[in-house]
Amino acid sequence: MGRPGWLVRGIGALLVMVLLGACGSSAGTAATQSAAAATASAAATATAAAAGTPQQGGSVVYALGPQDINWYFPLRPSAYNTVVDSYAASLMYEPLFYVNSSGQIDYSRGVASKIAWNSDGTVYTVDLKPNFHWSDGTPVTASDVLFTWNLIKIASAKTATAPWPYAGAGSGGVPNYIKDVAVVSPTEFTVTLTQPVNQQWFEYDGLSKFIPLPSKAWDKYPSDPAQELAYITQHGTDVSFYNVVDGPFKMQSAVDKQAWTFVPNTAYDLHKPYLDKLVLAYETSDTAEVGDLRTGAVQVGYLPSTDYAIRDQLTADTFYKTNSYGYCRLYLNFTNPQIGPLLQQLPVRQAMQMGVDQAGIISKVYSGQAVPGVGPVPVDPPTFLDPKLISNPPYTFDVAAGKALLEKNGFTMQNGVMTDAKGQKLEFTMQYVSGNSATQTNMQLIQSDWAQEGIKIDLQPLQFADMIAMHVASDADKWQMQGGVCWVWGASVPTGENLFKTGGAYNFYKFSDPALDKLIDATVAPQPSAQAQQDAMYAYDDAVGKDLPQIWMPHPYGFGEVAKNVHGVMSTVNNFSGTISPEYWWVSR
Amino acid sequence: MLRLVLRRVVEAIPTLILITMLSFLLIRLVPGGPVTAMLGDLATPQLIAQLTHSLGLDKPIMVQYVIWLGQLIHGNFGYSYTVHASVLQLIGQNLPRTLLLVITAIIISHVFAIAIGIYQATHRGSWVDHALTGLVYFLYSMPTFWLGIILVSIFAYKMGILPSGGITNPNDLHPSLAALLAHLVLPVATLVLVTMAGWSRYVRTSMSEALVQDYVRTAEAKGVSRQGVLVRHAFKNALLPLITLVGLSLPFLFSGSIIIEQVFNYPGMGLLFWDAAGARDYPILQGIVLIIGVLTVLGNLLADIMYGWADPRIRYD
Amino acid sequence: MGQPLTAEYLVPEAPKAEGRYARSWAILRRSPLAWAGAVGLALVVAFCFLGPALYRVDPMKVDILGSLNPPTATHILGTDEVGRDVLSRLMLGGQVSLEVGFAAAAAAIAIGVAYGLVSGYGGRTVDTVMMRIIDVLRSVPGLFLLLFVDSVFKPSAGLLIILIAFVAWHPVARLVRAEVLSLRERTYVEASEAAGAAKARVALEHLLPNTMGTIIVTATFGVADAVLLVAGLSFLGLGLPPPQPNWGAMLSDSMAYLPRNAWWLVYPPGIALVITVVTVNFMGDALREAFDLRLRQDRTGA
Repeated sequence: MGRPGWLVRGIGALLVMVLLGACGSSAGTAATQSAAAATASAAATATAAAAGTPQQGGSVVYALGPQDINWYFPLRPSAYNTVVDSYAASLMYEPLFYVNSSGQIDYSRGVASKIAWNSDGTVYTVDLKPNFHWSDGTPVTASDVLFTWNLIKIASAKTATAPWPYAGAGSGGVPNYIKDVAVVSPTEFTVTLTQPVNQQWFEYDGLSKFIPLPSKAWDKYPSDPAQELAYITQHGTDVSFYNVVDGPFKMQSAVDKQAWTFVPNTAYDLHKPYLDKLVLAYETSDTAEVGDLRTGAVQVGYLPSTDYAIRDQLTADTFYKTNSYGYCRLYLNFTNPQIGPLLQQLPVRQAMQMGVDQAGIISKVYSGQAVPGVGPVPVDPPTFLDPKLISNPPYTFDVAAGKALLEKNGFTMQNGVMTDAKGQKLEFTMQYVSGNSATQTNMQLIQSDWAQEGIKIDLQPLQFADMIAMHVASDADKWQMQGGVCWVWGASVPTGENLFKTGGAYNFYKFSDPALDKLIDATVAPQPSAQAQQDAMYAYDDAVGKDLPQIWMPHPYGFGEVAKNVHGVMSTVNNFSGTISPEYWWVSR
Repeated sequence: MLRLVLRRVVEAIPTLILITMLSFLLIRLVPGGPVTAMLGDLATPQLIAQLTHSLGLDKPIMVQYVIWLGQLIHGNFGYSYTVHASVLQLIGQNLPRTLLLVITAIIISHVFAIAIGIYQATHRGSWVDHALTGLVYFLYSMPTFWLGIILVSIFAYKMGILPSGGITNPNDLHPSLAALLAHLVLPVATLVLVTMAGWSRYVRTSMSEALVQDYVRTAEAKGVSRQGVLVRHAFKNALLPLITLVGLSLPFLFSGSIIIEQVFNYPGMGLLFWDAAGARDYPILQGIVLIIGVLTVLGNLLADIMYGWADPRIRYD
Repeated sequence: MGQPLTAEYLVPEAPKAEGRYARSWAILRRSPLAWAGAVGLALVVAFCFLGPALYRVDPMKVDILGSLNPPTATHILGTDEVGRDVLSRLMLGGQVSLEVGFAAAAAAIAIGVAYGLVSGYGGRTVDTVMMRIIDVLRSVPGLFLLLFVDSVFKPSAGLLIILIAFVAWHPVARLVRAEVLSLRERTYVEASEAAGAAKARVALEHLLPNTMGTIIVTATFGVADAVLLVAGLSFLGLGLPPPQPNWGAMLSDSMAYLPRNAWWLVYPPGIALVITVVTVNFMGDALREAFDLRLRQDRTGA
């Protein structure tokens, strides 16, 4: 043994370390935020406009992310109801009407040509476009809508077996408020309700479910709805079943947890696709998706909200911002026997809200790419938002003021925790969904800021399945507070009858405020004019923002990445409904 | 030998029943069943009750187990809750992919581990021995996900010569063998680097011990060549712990491959298992546990048979 | 394979206990490998447990506006995603990682060796039953147990030690059993049994010392495995909950910031892990060279 063995081994180990270390570093720099983003999106639109005339042909791979398509039928059961399932169906089946990015109905798309209602809001008349066809040549008629309604009825029944019941049952008044659906003519049908409701609310949340389905091809058991449902369930993911379509695309092949391939429907009556092929690709994780963007395996994808800083590294893609119509919040469990009474005190909730450093989170966690939360009505697009909530939000980040508020309301700081006269401490367990670095950062920040106000929280990361199970459990002491969850309204009106009204369907935490209930009722009741409608919405918006049934959190933007040679994606982004319109995408060669 | 195999097959049945029963119970004790996982935010008590009943989850646990066992005997592995496909179909799709990945890695790891271990044992104390030890320690101490992510960032992002994940390019409907191999390189390399490091230590140790055994020195004294000694005497003995390790490794195909498949977007059993666990998809989980159990039994049998061949001193009767 | 003609065969007596260990210690004391490993590990331990007394920065102080900053004079290794000092978290995190690593490995070894000895030496029925029990325990996915424990109890270092030991003792038992099966056919074991020695005595005096080589290698890997397992669990979202740091969590959390070139988050915990594992392995090597009887060239009398 000439050289000391341990020395050689040590040097060997070090050398390898240095080698790998040198290769691992890269020169990524964080750009300045809003200016760059603004120029990026301006440049994007300019590029789109200057791209020239669309060319036929080409194929595009669209990244779905870590979500599997498990159902192709346009009516989705509770068990298979993800947004990617809706993509598969919407590519093949034209919706009844199309809501654009600003939340308005665009009749140039969709099967309907006109929707009207009576002043009561009890009878809705829908006219269909006269020359809309199925891909087998037969016309799309009102009978097809009746077929859909019959399916909705049987799929919503209490006796429906797994994977049903219908996921849309119970929202938008479907099926409970519907008295009758009648075919007036091949291109007109009416829906009659059992009671007057807010017309816009029913139109967006209820009528939207009446998507025409190819009754001639699929109605095998007209006199036996249960058997018809079983027949359809059997073919939920059977590609060959979906050969009669009226939408822009037709499914060609499907490989589970990998890719779903679509080709154009040559008989489509509206804007025919430019592409030859569209592939929806599954990704095991966000990281995998970003990897595929980098290597060019995917041409249209997304950037996770925490990866804003690396957008410059994707040199083959153009970066653009999207926003889902939703909001993020912390849940509070008012029914929890230990801490429920504490949460029911408004000053406690106010102190909590005042301890959320929204500006800090937006600037550092989301690199400026987020909007503050002021209530359940989303800030961007501000279709239903009361502008006063932006210019003059009810609560701002002020730890000192929050602490003072608690002290003014009977709490004293003992050992760093606010305690009331009865000896109850403001100590809570905060559960949150594990696996998301932004959520984890936010939770730790809140923990630290609230600690300065004397509110002590213990963090408990959990799997989503566990957290949800505790959230909906009838056993009220399973959770105290939950975070890392956002709610997506999709293309529906953000009213609070399910979330915040006493006894609401999703009001598991049992929030109850009779004054707020009245305002909620006004938003789903028929209103005489559009102005009255807006007033009712704003009144509710202001009240719920102040009332804090939940703690409002910033809502991050989404980021999209499009390959530089793919066009039409950014101009057709729909932030209100979250749908994609690949029939407008084209590839320049 | 035949007696051993037969005995093992008979013993396997109660073992498998115990394994599946314990797993059945354990996963159902985890709060948050598949129903709430499916429904998510939209879970109302009525919906929960409806789905729970129609999936048969409101029956007592042992009744559910017996029903599952009954279906199994008829060849029915059950139907997934989260994916609209049968468990057998899903396992049939994913298992070959994982086997491909792991068996390739095991074979290559063996080759490297044995080569490195034997070289080190026969050149104990040389600077090459020490350098190899340093390299092996370093590789062994790297967390798998760290190594994988670094390899991806070098070879896929920086150099762009290998794909960053998946098993095929989504655009490629008929992938070539070359494309498939290219997708395998990084995950296999990660697995190999981490596995062979550990194995080579065992080989080196047992080879070193075997080489100083008296019968080796006697053989050498008798004039048998070093090679002969190595192959005939030392090698077989050195192999024993390694064989045991391989037998042990078979069931860990799944737990080990979870991280690799996550990092490399590889659609295999690890990913199937992980996703099913997160969604509490009981049928898939039960099916996978059964397969793990079968592989455990097979792995043990394989190890014990190899043992018997390698070391006649071990007697089983 | 015939019996070789050596002195050992003619006089089937095992080497005396006292002389054996004294010689091992002598070898150990002179081994530079042992010193390098011991000194290295001592430095790591000192860094983790004594370091905070010298580097008095609060590892829990959050400062969101100062987050993700590269090293400066006040924060020698920069700040993490919530603005906490990385160096002090590295020290505090090391305490947890080392405790979990060593405790879990020790527990796993203790249980595994005992189980393996009994199973290998206890006769066919005992062996069969014990091995089947291990098969059952091994095949029930640890993930299920982990999910169950994580959601019912609040994960803590102690819980993690128990969980890791519960999963890690199986391979140890199997390996020790394999060695014992091979060893019990050795002449001095048979001779000892023939002389009427109790099974326990044979096990402790002959079987255990001769499996030392495998046990030591397994133990050193066991420590590494435990620490790495915590890292892997954190990567999957199943490790210890924040804000308590540990190297595994720091490493897996840092992966999200790798594209941003936050090297001060990515490399320190990784390097700390490597140094710990390497020094433990150095010591393990040295221990094996000293105590592994089968490596000894000189067999007579000692």
